[in-house]
Amino acid sequence: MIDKLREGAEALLSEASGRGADEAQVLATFSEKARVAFEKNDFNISSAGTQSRLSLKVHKAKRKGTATTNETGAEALAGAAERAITLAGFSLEDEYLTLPDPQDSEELPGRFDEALAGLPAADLHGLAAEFVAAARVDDRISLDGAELELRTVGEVIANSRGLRATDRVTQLSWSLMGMGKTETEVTSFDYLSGSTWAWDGAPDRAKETARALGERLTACFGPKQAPSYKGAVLLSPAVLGELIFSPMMFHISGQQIMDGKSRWESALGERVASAAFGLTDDPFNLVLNGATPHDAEGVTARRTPIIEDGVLKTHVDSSYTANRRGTASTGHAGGLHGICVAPGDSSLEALRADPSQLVVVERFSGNLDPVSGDFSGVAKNSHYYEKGEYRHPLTETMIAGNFFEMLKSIVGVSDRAEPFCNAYQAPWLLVDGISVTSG
Amino acid sequence: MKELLKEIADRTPGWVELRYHRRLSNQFTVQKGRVDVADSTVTAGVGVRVLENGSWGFASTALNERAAIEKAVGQARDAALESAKIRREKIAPLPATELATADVVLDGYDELTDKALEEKLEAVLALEKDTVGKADEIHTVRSTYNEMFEEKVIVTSDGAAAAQKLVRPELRLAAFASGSGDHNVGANSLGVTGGWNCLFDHHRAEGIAEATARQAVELLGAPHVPGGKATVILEPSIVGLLSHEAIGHTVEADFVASGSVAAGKIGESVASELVTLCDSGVMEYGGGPGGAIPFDDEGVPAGRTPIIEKGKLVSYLHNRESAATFGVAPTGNARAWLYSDEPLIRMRNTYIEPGAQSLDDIIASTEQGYLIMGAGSGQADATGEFMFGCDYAVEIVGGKLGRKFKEVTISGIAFDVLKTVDAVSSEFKWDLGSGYCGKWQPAKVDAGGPFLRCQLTLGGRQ
Repeated sequence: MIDKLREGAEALLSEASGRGADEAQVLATFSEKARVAFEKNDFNISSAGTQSRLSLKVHKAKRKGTATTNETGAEALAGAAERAITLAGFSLEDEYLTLPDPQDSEELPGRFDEALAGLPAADLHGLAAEFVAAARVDDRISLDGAELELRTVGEVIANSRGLRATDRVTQLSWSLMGMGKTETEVTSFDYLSGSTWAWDGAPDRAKETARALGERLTACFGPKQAPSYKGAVLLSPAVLGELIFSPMMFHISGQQIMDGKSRWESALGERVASAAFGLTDDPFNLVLNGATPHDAEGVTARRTPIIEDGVLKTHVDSSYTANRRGTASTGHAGGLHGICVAPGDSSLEALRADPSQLVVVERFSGNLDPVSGDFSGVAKNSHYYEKGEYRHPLTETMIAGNFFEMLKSIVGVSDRAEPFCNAYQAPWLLVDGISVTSG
Repeated sequence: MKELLKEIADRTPGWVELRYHRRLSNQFTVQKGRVDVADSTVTAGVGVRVLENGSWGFASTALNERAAIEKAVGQARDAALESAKIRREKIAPLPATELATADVVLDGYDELTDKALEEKLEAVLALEKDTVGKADEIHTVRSTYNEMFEEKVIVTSDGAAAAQKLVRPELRLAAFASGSGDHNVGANSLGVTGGWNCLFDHHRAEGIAEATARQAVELLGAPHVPGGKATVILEPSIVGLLSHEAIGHTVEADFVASGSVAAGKIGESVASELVTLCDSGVMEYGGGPGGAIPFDDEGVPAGRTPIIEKGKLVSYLHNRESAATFGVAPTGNARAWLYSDEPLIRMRNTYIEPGAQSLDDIIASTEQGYLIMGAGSGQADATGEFMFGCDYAVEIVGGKLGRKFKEVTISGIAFDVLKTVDAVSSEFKWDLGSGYCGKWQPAKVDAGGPFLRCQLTLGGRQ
């Protein structure tokens, strides 16, 4: 697989060079996948297939063009090269265009499993049946959709400066979306997913995700509105992606800084969050599905502290943004790889015990403007506590606040950092100053 | 390609659906006077779906030749046979229905094919430059043009044999402003099924640079709206979002079968009698709505489907399988994003029909409330509870427009909100043509409607 990708990448580089490109980069990927999907509480469809993709970036006379094709024949490669060169021909001049130099990359072991790569279709279907059964232990659970997907993926990155990077992984991923349903009531839907690189332990993890969704849904029957107040809310790991990580990535991004959109351009070394908050990008955390040895242009990935004790430690850059800003690539073309928030020292029970009124936010359905930091939305599948005592699940209850203010208003961090959907690893955060509005 | 697919379908035992799909996407993104994206992407291949032993099987190939397609047919059949072992309820053979056999090229395809890419980039650059110059507070403008040329051939073993070509261009503009210690973004986007002229005939295209810059600057320092229940007038983009997210998804037949809030409500009154809500593949009201399709990815002609008629729920949205289960005709809503995706029940252009009042009359007759402008992203769930981000709100006091408030979120239970509708304007606009719907795979959709007055919850500050 990798050899064929290398051949395709070299052929496309050659096509670009032959058409006058000064520099070129190719990202070639191949994936083979099998998928079992579930719908309307029954199996719906099984599918299988292979996909290739060759993406070319060319620089010609300091102008850029890119083209992608999923066809691998010589004619298709020539066509892609021609389209990229044509686009570069009338694009604008940009003196900062650059590609990375060759890297001393090492492989990241632990992400390719022969047992998973050769998993018989019957085993995948067998796991699918157990997976769905695990979610539906309570007959009030109705699944709108669920799926398991097995992928074997190969990747080659090559550029005209001599950089060559390869990677191959196996990945079993699972997801399910459902709702609680009785004769008289339908709950909000909820969604969970997960993934692993190896077959060993995979069935248990998948079923654990399914059981967790079932438990979340059954806890949502009989919801009521919370009273309106301004004060503390407890954010589950599930909502941090939208409320914390997404705007944070915006403001540490070299791209946003060079465009004047980041509010943290001059904040290196400054306190941007409560001292209780620390966040690291760890590309080598194999629990997370973004684990990788290199970024999207082949630059070696590294463990990068982003915020320590509330203080901003770094911005992140690709080769291009770094060149434009006069700094060095941090190996973040394509973004962060594995967000890990440091756990604190409070138990979850202790965090729930203090506030006189507390909305525990399990899912956030809303909007956050990364520029202003303002957010507002509905607290879904969420719960209400008073003076440490559980009251009821919530409906028609909205929360609103500001990302920058919220980061500085973290008053508690739970003592366990949990992987959420294998996308990131984080504890629960107790934050103050949030507006809660009931409908 | 159609003849090849017909030959393969004829030689395949049982029911098979073969779908060739080639997409050419071209995109330019310009920001701060530089070209960030100048990209051209081709994705092409054949998706194969079979119904075997009462179970679906699907496979795909990027090699558009007989041997590869026949191999995919074999893989799809193997997959179906494997899943049939664990499927509880077998799918009955699909009933006969009207299927498309024509070759259709929608307006704009040839026009946009013939227009040079260089001219398109020049337009994007000019738009960015124009917007930057509108106000000193604007420090960055991002302008994006994207076009998707779609070419499809659908062949089924029970009679579909049709081809379609269409193109969907989109334009996006965002202005970033700073001042008075505040930061704000003004954004406008539009998309159509049609050519370059159709895109620039869209109501949002006229004065887009001025409107985007004004929105960015005027809302600097604007207050947040107070949270709570309110009387609101929703503009067409938000009415479209409400129709799509909060109603449309709950009436997708797969979601209904899983237990959505719309299950079992056919024939019931679910909205004010002023509300008639439809989903359509054809181009009512002109303007090339962005979700138009002549037939769906099962080969079913895509017509107009009334969902709510004068307040009563009258239909769900169906593919061939769900239509057979519910004992109705398919509605042409089976759509796949790429050749490598199987068709799912998806919306097309979803809208509320216009009423009789003018917007001015509706505003004048509103004692206290807000005019809500600019649909952002939106979500809704099985209960019909929705949440939409909106650009801004204009206060209405004593029938007159007043102060502006920024970054508004609206929420409510969709059917409850539709029951509070007491005014519907005669103006109609398609306004979500640059939007994509997400449901396991993306789908290009549009939505719109009139201005509409109702009661809902504003998510604001305490």
